[in-house]
Amino acid sequence: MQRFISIQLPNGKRDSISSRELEISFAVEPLGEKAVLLRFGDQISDKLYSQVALVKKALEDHQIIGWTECVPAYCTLTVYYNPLAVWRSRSEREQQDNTIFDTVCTRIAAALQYNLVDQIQQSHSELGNQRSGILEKGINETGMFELPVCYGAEFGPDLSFASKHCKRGEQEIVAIHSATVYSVYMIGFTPGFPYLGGLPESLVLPRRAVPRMSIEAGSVGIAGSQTGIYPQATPGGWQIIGRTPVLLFDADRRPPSLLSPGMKLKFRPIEKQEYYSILECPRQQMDYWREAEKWH
Amino acid sequence: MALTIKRPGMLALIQDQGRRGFQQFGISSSGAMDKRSARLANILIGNDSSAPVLELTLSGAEFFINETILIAICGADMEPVLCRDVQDSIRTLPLPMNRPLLICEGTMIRLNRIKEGCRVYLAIEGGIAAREQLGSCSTDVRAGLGGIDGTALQHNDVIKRVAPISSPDTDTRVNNQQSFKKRLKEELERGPASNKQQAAYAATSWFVDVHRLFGDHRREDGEETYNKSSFNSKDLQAIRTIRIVQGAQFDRLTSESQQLLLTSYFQVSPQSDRMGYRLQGAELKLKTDEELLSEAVEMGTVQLPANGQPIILMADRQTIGGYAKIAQICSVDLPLLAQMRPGELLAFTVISQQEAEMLLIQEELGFEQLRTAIDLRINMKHAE
Repeated sequence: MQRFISIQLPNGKRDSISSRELEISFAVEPLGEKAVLLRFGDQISDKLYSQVALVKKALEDHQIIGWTECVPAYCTLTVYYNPLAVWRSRSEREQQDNTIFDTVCTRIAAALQYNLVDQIQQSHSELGNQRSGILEKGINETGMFELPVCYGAEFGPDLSFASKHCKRGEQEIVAIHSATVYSVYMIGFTPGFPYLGGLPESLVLPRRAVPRMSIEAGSVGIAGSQTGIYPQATPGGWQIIGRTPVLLFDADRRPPSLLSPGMKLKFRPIEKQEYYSILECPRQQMDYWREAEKWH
Repeated sequence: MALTIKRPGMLALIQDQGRRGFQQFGISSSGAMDKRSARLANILIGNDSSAPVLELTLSGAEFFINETILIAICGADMEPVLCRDVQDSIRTLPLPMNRPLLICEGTMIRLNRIKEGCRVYLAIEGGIAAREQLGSCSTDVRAGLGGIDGTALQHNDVIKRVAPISSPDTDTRVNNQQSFKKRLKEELERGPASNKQQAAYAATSWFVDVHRLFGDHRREDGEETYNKSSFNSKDLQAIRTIRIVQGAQFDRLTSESQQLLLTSYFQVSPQSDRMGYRLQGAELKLKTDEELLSEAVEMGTVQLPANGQPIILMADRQTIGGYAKIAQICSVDLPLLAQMRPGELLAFTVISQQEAEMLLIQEELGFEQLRTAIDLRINMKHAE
């Protein structure tokens, strides 16, 4: 049962919305009886993801009845809900719906139709009234979150391997890795673990032939065309090139993850001294967490 | 100081109905594998449905009862028995399941042996006092959340109950639970004179007939299936029918594999645990082997990895998955699955999304009625 939702945004309502961004559309499919998956496409692209991020924000700010939570991914957004609450709140017309899934989809479409314009307006004003469409550029290009990382030596035991494999000096590897702006597509695999997009092709590395029994918490690594950070110590096969002293996951904070879906991330190279200074100073840790809150 | 774990058995965990709201940060929902039995155990003694309970896997668990306490045991039949005297663990009394029990201080409960099912749920009055993190007391061992200290329970761990604050203004529910306990205690003391000194527990005469209420989906082995001969006759004795809704990538299965999914028996492999059930059986194939992008999943999502053997995601699943989703187990059959042990066989049957939803709504409404009926019996007014 392939169902599509198409949100038409009013044309000519305000001058700053370019004529190209008049429609967001996605397929919807049930994921069990308590979730619906919104499918925007099947590729990793900032453009697709910006739709995911926009819809996520609009739905989080205007939660449908029975809303539990939502989980974004590369080009999908999954909305979890309480089916009994939806069923109980159905209008007479909605009771004619074939499934509770159908009712939820209609309500999501209505919430978006109503609220998405405001969302885009808001994002536009954040970009400072730029003419080109927010859906093309991707969200929040004016700001990015900087994460300090100490590269190489005991913090990045595989940096020398990376250097040999990519046929560039270690300094150059660090320069390329830290010059790139990465997109945080989603958090998963383990609590606080970010799936980052945007690793330059020049830094693609194979996984380690023999995985390590334990990788230190905060380790920054590369595996294939993915780069990421291990929030907790764990066994793993990624090539580790550096380590961040900032805590990535704290169960006592809300939200408990430093990084969040939709964030733009950049790695800032630091020396060993600064690494230990941040590691041991709760106030500096707090500064990074406060900075990250702007993206939630 | 309600109980002390003498032996945890295969795996003993504190669980509730799960940790929701934080999956987008990589936090697994955890929770009881058989949420129906956990909920029932709580309702039977007047607790909140989602109060933390003990989840005990298979048999062998033993615990000392340190104070006279109201409990209920639901889920698998692991032949729970009571030792009146901890010094004498040979003479035991069988404990009835699916009803409120008052257990005396100084005794010991043991899960004697595996008779039926996989996981036992033990609720105690007031609920287990556990560490609440991110909205739930469920233990997530990988993330170190919940439970007592984020780990499985071990020998000498002390399980405390949430103590009621007794005051005239206290919640009616708590007051009523306490007077129910008192009534059961009086019943205990009123027992036959010869047993008075040896009185070890009291039970209600009424109980919940779970098999009649929820069914157990045993299928008669007479139906034509693809690979009956691959399994021995002992395995074939108890085959469960599990209802599924076709998954988003069901159509990516070859038509032969679609048939195989719905007409073969699959065996729960020994590599099955709280993260997922790995099935062994006919090898299923996808039409193309293109890599899929990772996306969110749910408990009961049936994935197909490269080896062609389906995996059913369960309570401790990771929040994101990249394998093809070929089916989704309907919610009301998840408790059934959670009670299957490695070696047992299942067969899938397809139902529609609408049917799956209606089964769930019916069960929810059924639980509300059950709660009302039980509350009446123990003279409580309770809001879900």
